[in-house]
Amino acid sequence: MQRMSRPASAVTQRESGRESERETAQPASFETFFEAQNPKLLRALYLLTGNAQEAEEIMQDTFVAVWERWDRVGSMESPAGYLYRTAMNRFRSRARRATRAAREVLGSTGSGDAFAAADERDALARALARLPDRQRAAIVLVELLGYGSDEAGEILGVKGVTVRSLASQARATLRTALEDRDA
Amino acid sequence: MRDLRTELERLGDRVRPTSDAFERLERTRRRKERNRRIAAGAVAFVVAVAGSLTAFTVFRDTEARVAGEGGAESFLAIWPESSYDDALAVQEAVDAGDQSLAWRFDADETALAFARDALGWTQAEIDPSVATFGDGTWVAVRQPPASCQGPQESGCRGPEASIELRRLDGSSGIWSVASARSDEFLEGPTVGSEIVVGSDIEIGTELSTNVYMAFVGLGPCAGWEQDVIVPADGSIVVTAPELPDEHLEGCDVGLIVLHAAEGSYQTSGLGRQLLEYGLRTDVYGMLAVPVRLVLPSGGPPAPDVARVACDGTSVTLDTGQVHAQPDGVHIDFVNQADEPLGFTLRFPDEASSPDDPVSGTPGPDGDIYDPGAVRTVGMWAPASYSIVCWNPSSGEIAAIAQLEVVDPAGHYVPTEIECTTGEAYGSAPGYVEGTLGDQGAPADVVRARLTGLQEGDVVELAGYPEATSESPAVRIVRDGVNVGSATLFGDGQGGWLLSSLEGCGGTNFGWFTGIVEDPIPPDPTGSAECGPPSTEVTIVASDQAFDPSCVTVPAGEPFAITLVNRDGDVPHNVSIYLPGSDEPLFVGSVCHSGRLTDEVPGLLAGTYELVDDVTPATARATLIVE
Repeated sequence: MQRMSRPASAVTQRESGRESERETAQPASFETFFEAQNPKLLRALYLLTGNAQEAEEIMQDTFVAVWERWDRVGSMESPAGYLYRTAMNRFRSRARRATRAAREVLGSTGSGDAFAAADERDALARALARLPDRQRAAIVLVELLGYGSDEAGEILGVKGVTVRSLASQARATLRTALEDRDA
Repeated sequence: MRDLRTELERLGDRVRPTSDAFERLERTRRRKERNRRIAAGAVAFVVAVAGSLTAFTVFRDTEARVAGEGGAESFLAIWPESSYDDALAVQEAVDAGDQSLAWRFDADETALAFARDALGWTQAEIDPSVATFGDGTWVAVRQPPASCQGPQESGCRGPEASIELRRLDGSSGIWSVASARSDEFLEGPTVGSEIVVGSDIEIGTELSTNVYMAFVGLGPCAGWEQDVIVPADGSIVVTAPELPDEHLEGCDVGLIVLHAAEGSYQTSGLGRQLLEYGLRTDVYGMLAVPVRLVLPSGGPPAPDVARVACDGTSVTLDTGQVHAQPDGVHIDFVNQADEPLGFTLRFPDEASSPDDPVSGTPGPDGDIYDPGAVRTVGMWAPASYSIVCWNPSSGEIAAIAQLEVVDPAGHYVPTEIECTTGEAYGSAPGYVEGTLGDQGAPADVVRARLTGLQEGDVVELAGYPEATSESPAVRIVRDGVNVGSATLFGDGQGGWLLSSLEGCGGTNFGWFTGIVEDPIPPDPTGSAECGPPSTEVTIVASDQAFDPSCVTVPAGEPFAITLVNRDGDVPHNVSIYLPGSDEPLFVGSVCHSGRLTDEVPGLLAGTYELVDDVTPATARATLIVE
């Protein structure tokens, strides 16, 4: 049984991500920050929500919130960290409301299955949609965005060890799905 | 297979920002600022309304409450008094002969007073139709437009509202206003109804503009308010807001919907008060209903720590539920007696007997605590438990209470195996004193020692992720199903040894304990009878005995042992021991029936014993490694 090794790309991404934050913190133009972060945030939110429209809405909400506080956020060490923390809060808030609404309407706690509806043939999308919200958030932050588990923990408001555990469970599920697909 | 990050990027690339993304963001920001200005006005507006209604009363009882039923618990009114005690004081004053309050015995007069004083409809008149039904009386009140000669004039209608009135303490009490509702808002929540946060509230209306809505906290929740942007599509469906963090037990709130615009009807009451907020607005119609906002479960959320107190004769719990935490379940055991007491968590069906359900020895198992309080962090899975408080000196159970561990956050990673086919099997090796285990993370130890793993199996720590457990559990997930679990224990030197291993039928999990450095040399005379060395040997278990009684495998090469169980009703396995040792070198999978193959790593040349851990006295064979 081979162990799950941390992909090297995640480490390099994390370091390069930090450098880009420093660059954006100095010129401190919100528009520059927006142009740099917009594609990444949109992609992450799409993976989180499984729904392009909802991802776009949360992204807009998030950027508006950051824009209004840009005087303060722009001079932070990690404006991107603040951006993602805000985005995650909004995602969780929406997910909570959606879950409650679904429970009210359906009498069950079915989780969103937007990816599966969008493309039943994509094994990764299906597996991602079935992950619990917390696992999905952890794997997107760690694997896609390259955050370390402690930084991801700060964004999600949990301990780093929890992120590692969540990401590990998510990674295992997703890898199994991909292996099944490729088999 | 491409790496996971590349795959995620591929999936995420389905969405790409549009070229005018920043312009769209600017538009969103402008729209939100505009909405906020409207919302700020709406909140000031409805707060003013709530203030003018002399504040809603405090409603603690969630059952249907009727002023006429009597008592503080059943009091329900929004005007003029804000509490049962205040209303009772007015009742006593009226009873004592205060003629200035005589109008409170007349439903029409009370409704008119509400319209004039609270809504500011100074010319308010009673509509001729007065309906009485259910537990209250409805009085229709209208305000004719200033230019009309009277309310009956055709085509001349002013604002109007139905006022719901109820009597205090029975049929002879004073009248109070329970709710107010205009024709614009006929459908909607009723007085005292429970509204679950996050649920949709639908208010039937034809209006699409000049509608304002808010929730205003009452009683203990006073000061909390939540504005609502009303969708401008001709109907109102809004989501019930989240409760404030400090009032998760539920809030009495005024649900207030107003139809309001600039006008000239009001010069006092609400209209005058609104001017103080800078709003030159008149109320044309309204829905003002006290409701109760609750969490979906209907009760307060479970605490993070449960407190269990026992005095030797009774046990008290401060909560029926406790939230699991990332490091386990937190319980404060409080011994209120003057002697040590035992506290044990058991599943409810185990708690009826004072005897230990596992060992059968008298008295419950569990921990014994001296008088005082002790915080315990347990590895209990989310489930319902009985907490048994017992007396260590007599073994008698003193009292039992029920506690449910809930885990809405999903901290707990289940260790329990989920066998879809075949029966589960389990094994637990014995170790000689002083055996040292493997250093490292528990999951790594299991990966290194467990045999029978397949490509793609996930071996991961289970239970609570941040637990500092002395007996960590590791689970094996195959195709998304938990098919095996291994529980470890510490060797006292930082290493881990196997405590127990279980797996689903169809898996061939075994535990390779190690290769001895100095095995007994093979017996040259006996090895010939054991046949030539083979990397595939078969043992038949029949009548609780092994056949053949001796097999030979090549030294240093992995080999396979196939066990054929012909006993049917008796499970068997094949473990490998050094002669005379209680410490297995390899723990074989348990085969309930049919055949099962274990893969065994290579052994040094020597003589070993094949032993069935289920019937070790009779099912044994010799293993020659040469």
